[in-house]
Amino acid sequence: MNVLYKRNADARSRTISGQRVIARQSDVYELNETAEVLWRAMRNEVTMQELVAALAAEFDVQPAVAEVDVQELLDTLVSAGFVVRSRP
Amino acid sequence: MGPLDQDLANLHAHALELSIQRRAMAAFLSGSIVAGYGHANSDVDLYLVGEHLDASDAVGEARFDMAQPCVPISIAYLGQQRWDLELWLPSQVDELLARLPGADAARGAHAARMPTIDELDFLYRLSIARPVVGEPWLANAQARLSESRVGAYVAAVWMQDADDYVDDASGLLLVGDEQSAVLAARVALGYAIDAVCATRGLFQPSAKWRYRRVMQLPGVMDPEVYWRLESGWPQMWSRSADYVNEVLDYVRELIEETDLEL
Repeated sequence: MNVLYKRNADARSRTISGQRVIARQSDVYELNETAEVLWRAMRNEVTMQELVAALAAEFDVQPAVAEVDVQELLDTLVSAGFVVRSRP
Repeated sequence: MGPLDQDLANLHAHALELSIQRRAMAAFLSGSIVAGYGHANSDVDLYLVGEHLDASDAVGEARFDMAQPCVPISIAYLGQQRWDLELWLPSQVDELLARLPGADAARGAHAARMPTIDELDFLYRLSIARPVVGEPWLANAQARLSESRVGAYVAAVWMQDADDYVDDASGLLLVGDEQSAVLAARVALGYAIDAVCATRGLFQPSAKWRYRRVMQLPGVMDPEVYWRLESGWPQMWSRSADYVNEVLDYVRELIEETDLEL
């Protein structure tokens, strides 16, 4: 069964002088273009495959390459509490 | 000359007369008429600035947290039209302008004091003011205002307020208190709209002009979307939760996508 990913409701997101910044408790991250696409997609619950597809479409990269980036970002954001995992 | 300019030209002569009578060093018209929001019952708001203004006919005062806290208010009539006159000392205006948050404060690099609602209202009125006498004084004050980061700072604070109400509304839905969730979502919507407007210099705090402010920012927010969320409840949604979730999604998107341009 697919795992679903969504932003944690207590994460704050702002655009400051063109830079997307997310904050939660005392952690603040500046998102690069890749992370921003994924962050935007995670407004709603999405699967890993949907995130890979979103990234591949946005940057015209092979899904296998996009998957590495997605997995890396999810590992970071889930461990920092910005993104929550659930099972449908 | 448009209708607004014509209205102001008509008011200017009387404003000039009052300014001279009171020996004002600077005077400006502001408020809803100057903002272009005038209506059949609008008062005229005239601000007089000077060291020795005659306040003997004052009918009240506005109070601010300043070294000299009282701003006397007088009322005059021109025919049926009421004129509200606020009598400011130059040092009082200076004091408010000196407190404005700079770029460091807007970035959170040091603590700044959020202007009170009355202060914001006055500062906004100053930002759109039309001079009557003492034009260089007004130009200087407006330059200090526009060089400050007051709009971005106020927007950042109001975005935080919107976020807090989004959290409240979400939590209220979870415990089944749909009525309170609706109210919290509507407050969040107000803060979010006001925050977006503040980033564009429209940091006027009055809720009654919110739709007008949205209309002033074509391409930034869709007035129809805003008005549907503001006024469409409960006719347009069969379930409270659907309404709340749609408002919260809109608020989150507004907050996230609006550049604070600090």
